[in-house]
Amino acid sequence: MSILNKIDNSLIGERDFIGHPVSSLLLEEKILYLQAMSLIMNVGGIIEDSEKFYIVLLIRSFKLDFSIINMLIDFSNDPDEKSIIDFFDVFSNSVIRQNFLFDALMMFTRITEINENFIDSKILAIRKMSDGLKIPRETRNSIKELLMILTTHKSELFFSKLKDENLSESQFSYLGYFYEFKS
Amino acid sequence: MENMMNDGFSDLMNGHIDKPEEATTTKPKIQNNSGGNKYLNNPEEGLSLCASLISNSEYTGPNSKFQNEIKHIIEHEFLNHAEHDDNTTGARAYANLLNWQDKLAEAISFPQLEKSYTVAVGGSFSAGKTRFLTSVLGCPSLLPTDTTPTTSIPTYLFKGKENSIDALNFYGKKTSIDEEALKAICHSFNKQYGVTFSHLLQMIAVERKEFSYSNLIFLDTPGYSKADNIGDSTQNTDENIARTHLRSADYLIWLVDQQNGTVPKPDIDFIQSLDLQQPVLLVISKADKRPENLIREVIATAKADLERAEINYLDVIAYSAQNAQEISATGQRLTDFLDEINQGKNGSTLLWELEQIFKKYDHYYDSKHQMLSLTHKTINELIFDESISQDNRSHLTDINQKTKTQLTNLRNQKSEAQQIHSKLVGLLAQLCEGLGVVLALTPSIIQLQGIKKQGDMEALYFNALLQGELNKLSRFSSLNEIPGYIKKISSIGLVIEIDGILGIDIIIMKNQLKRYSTLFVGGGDVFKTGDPVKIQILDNKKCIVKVDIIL
Repeated sequence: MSILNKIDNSLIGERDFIGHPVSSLLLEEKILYLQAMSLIMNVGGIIEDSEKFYIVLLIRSFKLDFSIINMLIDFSNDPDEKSIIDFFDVFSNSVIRQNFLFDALMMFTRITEINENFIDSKILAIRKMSDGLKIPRETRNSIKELLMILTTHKSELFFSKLKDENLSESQFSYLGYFYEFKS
Repeated sequence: MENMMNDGFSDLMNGHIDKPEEATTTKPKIQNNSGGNKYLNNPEEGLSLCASLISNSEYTGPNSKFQNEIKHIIEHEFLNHAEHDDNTTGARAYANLLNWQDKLAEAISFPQLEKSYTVAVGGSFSAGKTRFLTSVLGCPSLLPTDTTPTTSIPTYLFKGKENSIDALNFYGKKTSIDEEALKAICHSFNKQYGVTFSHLLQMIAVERKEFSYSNLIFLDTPGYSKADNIGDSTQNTDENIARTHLRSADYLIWLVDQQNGTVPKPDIDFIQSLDLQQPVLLVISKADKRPENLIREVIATAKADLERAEINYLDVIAYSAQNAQEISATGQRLTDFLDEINQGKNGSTLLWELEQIFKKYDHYYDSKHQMLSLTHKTINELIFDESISQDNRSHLTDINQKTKTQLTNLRNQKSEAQQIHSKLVGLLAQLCEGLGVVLALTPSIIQLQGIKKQGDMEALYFNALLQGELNKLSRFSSLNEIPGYIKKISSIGLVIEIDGILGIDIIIMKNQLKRYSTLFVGGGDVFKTGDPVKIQILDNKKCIVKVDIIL
C-alpha cells in the first residue's frame, strides 16, 4: 500500500487509451468489464471523482456513449450477482484479465482518500477480483511493477517490462502510445 | 307520463330509447311502475334530469383553468407546431395527446380512479352482483337491483369524504345526482318507457363515507347476458358494455349463482373472451340457498371446470350476501384478496404516459437530425474532393446549405416541442397537486396492463447502447424503425440484433429495465428471446429500442 501510495498519478491526462484491448471487444463484454470496474470504484461507500474520471476515460477509450457512467454507478450501488459471475466466466480464461487488474490498480492509484479502512477495502476488493479472475501471483506482481515503471515514466524499462514472461506484450503496448514512450 | 313521451321525450333521448325487447311492436312498452320516484312522477323533474345528463359543456369547476389551458396547448399550440413536421409522427402524437386529455378529464372528474385499483364484479344477469357488492361494502340499500333484465350503466363505488353520486356522460360532463335519480337511470326509466342511458352515460360514480375499503374501487357492471340474445354479441348491448368495462378493470370477481351447480358454459366463454391478465376470483353466490356440503361440491366442480377451460383463477369461493358470509378453505379468501388490492396505486400514470408520447416524438427529431447530419457530412466530404468540377461543387454547396437550413429548422422544432412538453408537465403537476393525486414515475404491472388493454400504448421505449459501423445500415431507407429482435437475455440486459445485419451490437442495460421491475415479478419472462423490436438509431453510440409489451 505504501508503495502504491507513492505512485504519481498525475501523468494520466485526459487523452483516451487508444488501442486499449477492451475497445475491440463485443459491447456486452465491454459492459461486463466496466461494471466490474464500477464495483471497485464503489467499494468503501465513497466514489471519488478521480475514480469516476478514470471510468469515464475507459468509456471514452472503449468508444461508448458517455451516459453509461450513470448506469454503472446505479449498478455499483445495487450490483447483480449474476453479472459478476458472468464477468468471471467471460474473463477468467482471457488475457484481458491482465488489463482489468492493471486498470483497477491504475484507478486505485488516483484516489486521494487516506482513511486506512477505505484503502484496505479497495485493496481487498482488487485482490478478490484478481482471485475470481484466477490471475497467477507472478502476473499480479508483474502488473504492479509495470505500473511503477509507468509512473516513474521510464520508457526503456517499460519496453523491457513488456517482454516479461508473465505479461502479454500485446495487451499493454497501447500504454507506450499513451505515455508517448519511444522505443 | 304518456304525455311526456308524446311531448317529444323520445326526441330528447336522441333516439336512445331501447327497442322493445319484443321487436315486433313500434311503441315503447309503458308500464306504470314508478314506485314513487319523483323523476318519473314529475315530468319536469324527469326532463330536467335528462337534460343535465345529456348536456355538453366546456370545462367548469375549480380545475377548469388548468384544464382549459391544457386543452388550448394540445389543440392549438401543439397542433400548429405539428403541422410543420414533414411526417406522420406529429399526427400520431396529436392523436395520443387527445386520448391523454380524455384520461385527464376522467381523472379530474374522479380523482379516486387514479389512486385506487378497480375490482370489477361481473356475471350473468341475476347472478347477484349488486347484492354481493352492497353486502361487501356494507350498504345494503344503496344500489338498485331488480328482478327483470334492464340495461344498466357501469357503476363505480368507492369510499370518499362525502356521500355523493355523479354521472359522467360521453362528452365528459359530470352531473351530481341523488339516489332516486340513480334508481331512475338504472331501472325505472327503462321499465316505464324502455329508455336506456347506457348510450349516453359512460359511468356512474358512487362515493360513500361508510364504505369499507378506502383504496379500492368496485365496478358494478351490467349482467352480460339476457336470456333472449345470449350468443348474439352484435345485438347484446349489455354484453358489449360489460365486456368493455370488465376488460378495463384491474381485477375481476366473477359471480355465478349457486343454482347453476358450476360455472355455466356461456360464462366460461365470456370469461375467456375477456383475455384477462390477472387471475379471476370466482364467487358462487347465494350460498345460503344450499347446505354447506352441497356448496362445497359446487366449488369443487367449478374449480375442475375452470381448470378444464384453462382459465387462470385465483380461487373459487362461495358467498352469501344475505348473511355476509363466505365459504372457502380459509374462510377469509375474499377479505384477504380485497385487503391486498386495497394497498392502492403508487400514483397516477398520467405523467408517465405524457412522457411516453413526447419521448417518441422527440426521438423522431433525433433520428431525423442524425440522418441530415450524415448527409451534411457526406456532402462536405464531396465538396472538398479536388477532382470535382466547379459546377458540381456549386450544386453540392447549394444542397449543403439546404441541409443546414433543415437541421436548424429541426433543432427549432424540437426545442418548441420540448417547451410544449414542459408546459403540459407543469400544468399537470399543478392540477394533480390540487386534486391530491400523486404522479407515478413508472406504472405498476397492473397499470401497464390496463394501459395496454386500452390500446393507448403498444410498446415500451428504451435507451440502448450501440456499437458498430452504421454504414452497414445503408439498405434501410429510414433509421427510425429498423426491425430487429431480442437475441439474448443476459445478466446485463437485453441483447438486440438487427434483422439480417451482423456486427452491430445493441444492448438495453438492465437498469433501464429495472424501471419496470414490477414486470419481472414471478420469473422475469416479460421479454423473451426472439421477440421482435424496432430500433431507432440516434447516433453511432446510442439508439432507442421499441419493445412490444407482452405481459
